[in-house]
Amino acid sequence: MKAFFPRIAAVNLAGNKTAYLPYLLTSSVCVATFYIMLTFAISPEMARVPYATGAVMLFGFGTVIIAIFCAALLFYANSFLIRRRKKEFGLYSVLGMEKRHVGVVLFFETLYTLAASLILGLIGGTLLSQLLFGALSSLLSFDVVFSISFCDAAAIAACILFGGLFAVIFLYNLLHLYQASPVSLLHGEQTGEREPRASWILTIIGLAALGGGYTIAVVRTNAVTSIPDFFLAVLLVIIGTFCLFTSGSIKFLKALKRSKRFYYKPENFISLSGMLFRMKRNAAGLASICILFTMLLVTVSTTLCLYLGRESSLQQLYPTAVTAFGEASGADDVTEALNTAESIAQENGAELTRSLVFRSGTLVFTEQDGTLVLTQDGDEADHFVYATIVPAEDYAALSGEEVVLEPNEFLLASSSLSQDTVLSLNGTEYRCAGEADALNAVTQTGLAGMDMQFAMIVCRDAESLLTSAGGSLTGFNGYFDVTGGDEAETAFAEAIASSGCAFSYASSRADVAQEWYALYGCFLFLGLFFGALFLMATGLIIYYKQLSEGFDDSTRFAIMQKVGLSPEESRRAIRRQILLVFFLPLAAAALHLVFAYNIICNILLILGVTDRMLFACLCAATFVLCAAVYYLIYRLTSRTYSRLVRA
Amino acid sequence: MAMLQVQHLQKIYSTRFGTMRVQALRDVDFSVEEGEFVSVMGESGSGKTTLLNILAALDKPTEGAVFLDGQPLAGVPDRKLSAFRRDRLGFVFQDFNLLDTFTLRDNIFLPLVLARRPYAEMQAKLAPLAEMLEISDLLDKYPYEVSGGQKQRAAVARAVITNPSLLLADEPTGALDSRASMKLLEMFRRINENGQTIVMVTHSAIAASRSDRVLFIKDGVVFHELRREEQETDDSLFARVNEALTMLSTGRLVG
Repeated sequence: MKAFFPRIAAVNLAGNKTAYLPYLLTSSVCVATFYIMLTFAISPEMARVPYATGAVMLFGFGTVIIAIFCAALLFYANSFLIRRRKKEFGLYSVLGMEKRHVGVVLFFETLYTLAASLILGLIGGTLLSQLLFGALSSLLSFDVVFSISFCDAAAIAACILFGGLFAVIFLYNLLHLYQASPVSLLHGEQTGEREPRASWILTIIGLAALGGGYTIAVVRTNAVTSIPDFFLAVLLVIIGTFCLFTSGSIKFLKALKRSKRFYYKPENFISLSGMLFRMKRNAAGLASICILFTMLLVTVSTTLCLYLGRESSLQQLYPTAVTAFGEASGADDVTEALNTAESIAQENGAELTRSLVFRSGTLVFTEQDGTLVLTQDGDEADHFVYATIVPAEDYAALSGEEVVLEPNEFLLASSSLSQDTVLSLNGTEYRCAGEADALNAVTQTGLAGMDMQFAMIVCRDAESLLTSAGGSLTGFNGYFDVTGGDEAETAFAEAIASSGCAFSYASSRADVAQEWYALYGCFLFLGLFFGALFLMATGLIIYYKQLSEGFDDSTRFAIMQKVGLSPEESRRAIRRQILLVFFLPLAAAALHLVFAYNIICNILLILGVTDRMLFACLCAATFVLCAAVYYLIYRLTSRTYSRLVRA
Repeated sequence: MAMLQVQHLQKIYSTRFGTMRVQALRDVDFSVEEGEFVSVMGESGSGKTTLLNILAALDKPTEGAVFLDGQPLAGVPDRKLSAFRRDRLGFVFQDFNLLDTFTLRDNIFLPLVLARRPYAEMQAKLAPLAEMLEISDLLDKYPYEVSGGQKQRAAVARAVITNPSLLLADEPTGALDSRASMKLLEMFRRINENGQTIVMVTHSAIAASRSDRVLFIKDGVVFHELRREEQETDDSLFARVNEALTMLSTGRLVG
């Protein structure tokens, strides 16, 4: 008799396997992902991976997000399961089981599920972490492949986290059980449904939020503010999506229903009223699918783009093999630094193939119709030009050209400003006399029409010009290429930074590349990891939706067949509804992505990726791929639905 | 020529592996004239539901045949069966079977929509029908907003809006209180007076006493038949039905 409740619990789980198997699978995957992410964040092996400090921090951050996400997902799945089983609980009460006893059964069920998911999840996680560690090693482009061992700290953390989560879920279910009377439990599933009503206010809020979000994403082109803009837009779009899915959809369907000619056709008649009630019940779920799917698309395509574009963005930020900075005190610094660089190269047995050394000062201008004026406090950051002022004598020295400039003339190196640009400073107009070819290679790229532009301006009497504009000629820049490969470059950078000349900081591209690759590799890894998780969540939600829809619709279609709907017609009606319901989020996600394209490009630009075409292609490819997986999930789950409806 | 002819129906159910055979109908034979209102009475397990399913072309007899307007039901091909049921037969069920996602109006329109009739025609057919069934004011309400009797009247409207040859009713008063039952039977009478042929399966002697003819089924055969005499009142027929039922259950009535 003692084993009675545990046995009932086991029988229940087995009996409800269509609903519980996905739940078990989901919680196992949650445990596995949490374990893997935490292992990567804390395992000593990861600390040995070169340049991984930034990446390890990312994994720590990822662990937190996964924990939150898993909690939300498990709660969603549980609330679905409990709703389904209300009738069963009611039956127990009627059969004479006390709520206390049902609680004990529930406890054992929860315990079994927890134990099974922890065992499956940790075994799966351990195996998978080996595999993923290998994948990560190759993403990070380091050759030393060593394996990652079982991390007991991560396993214990997973047990604590999921033990806690399941405890909370159990308490929640218990609360539900105790609140309800047996009769209400018995009829829990079939309380009469009211006709859905849509509020105009929600629809209007939804339209406004969505419109606002889209507008921000498309119109605001300032790269500097694009990250806060992006989050604002994301927030607005999420609000808009939820409002429109819940309210807007119903308004739309009701409008269609009002058109008698359209409504009273067999193919529309059943679908439309079905959809109305379906949207009422599923709007939130569908909106979540839409948001999740959009996140999936954005995450995967962005991280993939960063990873593939890492070479060009590195080239952008490090135009030469070695970049050095320091503080200039006078014109002599240039010759001294050049001599030092030469001698260091000789000592190392390398050859200096390029050396650009110059003093500089920075001024920020605002561009107005081709004229640059000094930026005032409070100016909109929309048309900023970051100008590096270089003295003419330094330019002459580094380029080896004779520079002849009138006092109100300058040379310009910029990828976006035209040669007709006029500089207006202290009442004097300076005009462009030509291109500063020698500096083109080291000018940062901004995009035309993108409101962060860069320019190098060579002029006479740079010092007084800078001082008069509130700047100073204290910047000291060095760009060097040396022969001898990565090691020679790194050695050169170290030597010149500690040589005692005006350079106080130097870094080699080779050095940065390692760290850069590690970081972007981890970005991609996280992106794919989260992508997989989002996809799984989407799949789970779809599956549960299909299950609940199937249960609800089976009675409805049974009646229709009695009244004279042929099996073929009912199949068509079912297919139409499912297609509409499940491809609506997909279509909305695609729309979101199209509107987000511009602002994401801006953010990528800050991170150094200028290739918009690459991003566009990646977005399209990701969408096609994810849509294919989504379709597959839909096909698999719709079989369950059809089975329920036909039965 | 009878509207409905039922000839020597036999129905045998066997379990999946054929080990158990249950004879639901042994030999049922009767006919219904056009414009007649016939009740079929019998206890649970007497074969009423099986008979109704066969009449509704939802099930096929093991032996025998059913003719509607002289056309054999067995001759209707499977793919046309749904359309046949929709156009030629009307159904009223005990538990209404109204769709909760439709208003009463749309529930009633359902068979016409499935038959692709134009909206104007639907409206024209609905108006007098709703008037007669006294549900004109309720058409825009949802099933959960109206009473059981009103639901059942809407279900009747749905059943007869296609002008079916035969209206089949399965315990139509089964889920109604006595007042709603009387009202519904009154509606059946009105519809019948307009020329609608009705076959109603029921447990209730009161319900049966509203019809023209009562067939008693027991153990899969038509055991007894009562016919309303010329000018006979409902009460008189009710008394005779009750008498027959008593005799039927005590086994004293033979043939």
